[in-house]
Amino acid sequence: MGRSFDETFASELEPLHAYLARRLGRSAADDLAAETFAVAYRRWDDVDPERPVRPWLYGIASNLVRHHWRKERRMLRAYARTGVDPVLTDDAVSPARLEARLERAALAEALAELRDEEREVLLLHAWAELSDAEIAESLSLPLGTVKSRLSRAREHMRNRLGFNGQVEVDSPKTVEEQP
Amino acid sequence: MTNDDLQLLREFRAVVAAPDEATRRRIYARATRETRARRRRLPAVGLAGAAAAATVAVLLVSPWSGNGGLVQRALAAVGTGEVLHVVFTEQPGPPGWYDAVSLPSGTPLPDPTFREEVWYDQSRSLEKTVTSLPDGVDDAVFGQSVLSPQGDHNAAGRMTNAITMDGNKATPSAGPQASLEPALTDFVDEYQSALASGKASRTGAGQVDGHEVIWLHIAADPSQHYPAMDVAIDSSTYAPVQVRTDDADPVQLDVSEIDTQAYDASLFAPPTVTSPVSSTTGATAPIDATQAPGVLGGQAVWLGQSWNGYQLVGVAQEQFTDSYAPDSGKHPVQSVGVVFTYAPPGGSADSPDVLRIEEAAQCEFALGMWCNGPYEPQAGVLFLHQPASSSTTVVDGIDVAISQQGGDADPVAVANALQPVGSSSSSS
Repeated sequence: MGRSFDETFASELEPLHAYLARRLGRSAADDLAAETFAVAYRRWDDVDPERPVRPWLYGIASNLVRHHWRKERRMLRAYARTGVDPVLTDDAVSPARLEARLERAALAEALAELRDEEREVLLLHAWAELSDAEIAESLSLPLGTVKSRLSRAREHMRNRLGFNGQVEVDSPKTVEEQP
Repeated sequence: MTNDDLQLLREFRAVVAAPDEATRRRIYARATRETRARRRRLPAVGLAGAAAAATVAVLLVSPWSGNGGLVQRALAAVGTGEVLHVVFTEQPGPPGWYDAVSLPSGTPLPDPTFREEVWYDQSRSLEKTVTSLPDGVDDAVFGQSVLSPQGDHNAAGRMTNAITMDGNKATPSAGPQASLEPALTDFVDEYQSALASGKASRTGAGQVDGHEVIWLHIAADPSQHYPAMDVAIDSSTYAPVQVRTDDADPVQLDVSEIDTQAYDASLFAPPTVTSPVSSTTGATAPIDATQAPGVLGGQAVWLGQSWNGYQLVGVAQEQFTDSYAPDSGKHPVQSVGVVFTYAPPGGSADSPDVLRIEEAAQCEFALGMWCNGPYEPQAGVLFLHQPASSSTTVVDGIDVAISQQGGDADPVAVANALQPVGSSSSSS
């Protein structure tokens, strides 16, 4: 007997909402999480109880998110330019926090530079914590395509963020000068 | 300072707070609303003349008998058949990521008006929508969907909202999809029951498009997430002529027809599959620029060897494959195209700042084109759409998709600079 919709909602809403909020902001996350679960609820009888539900759920979400790629790119770019995280409202400016903010701003810029399809795969891997096979199932892509997109995306991130992943952020000016 | 890109990404996500309990409850209610509403209605299935009988019953016992004359006439104007039939026009705006501008000026073009025709059988949970251009002649119908308890279908086959389901696998539907604005669905779903349940109240009179109208206000139903609506009903016929939602994202629709019909199963048959369920770009083979016209059947366009600081760094033939829903019986269709890749001086086709001009002899879903209806690429119009900053148009009979990463080339300037291959070797 598979999990019920309510059990799945209880366990999956929070990570899904965080995933969507990080990508598109909290307001959009509310809408998209509701739409994702609406589709899931309506199609619950189609779910194969022998298979994990998470790839299916994130596949639904990904198809909704793709309509908002432009907004996502704008948000990331705005974050990179200003250092102000659009998702956060209470990020106090202590030296440690400032460094973290600059680090995340550089990360946002690097994410914005990715091809949308590569960013999709990377974020499903890093944030939704899906395996390569699960991402392939979610997006209906060949496994090899997922692996190559993920490889390219991570290579871009590592190159962009600095040698061995060291984020090269010296001053706020460095961030502000990024396009 | 972190030393791992994935760790940094996860820290980036971790700063997001979890939804509070009120948000959780709200999301749950929204997610289950539509289906709960359908299930709530299902016990009525099988009762002969359910809709009409229920309406009459409610009319007899409802507490708003003082207002009953008006409401009764409004209900009577719609009729008592099992299938509610509504025709309305709306200007929904582009589907989220399309903006149209005129070429060569770059002047924004107005959004097209759509004609939506809906047949809705509440007792059987069936809904058919046909979307067309009100003034169209050829291919005026560009979207159809049929929603039923057995599955939702559109021109790409079985679908659920923006995806096609295959077991637990979600596949994006590449083709155009007919979908009502939620507020319009709410109207189709709610109008009769709102009248019958007494949620409608008269708020005044006025004129709409030359019609003397009476305005009804239908209160919001938070439990079902129906927004509040103001409905103008013709003061002579009592049929609704305009609906305006009263919420954060207001929608107006102009109703040109509304009536009820007898149930006819053939009306809700799934539409014929005409759109692919997925489109892919296959392996590319390098070619010389002079071969491009031959690949496309005689014509190709490019920016020359260089343009505005970009240099041509590659030309390749592409292969597109359109795949159709498995149960459609349609085989995959393959076609070819050409991609011209430009990069800043010293760059290559793999540079982060590249400009791609992808071309085909006909509209290609694989190039992000909407190959049906008002957003199909056309000469003199540039559709600026996302993702990946891509734009589509038609130049010299060739369907063109312009995309770039990392750069800031103006797509209007790019489109205006396209010229037939062979007419000039370089520009600017």
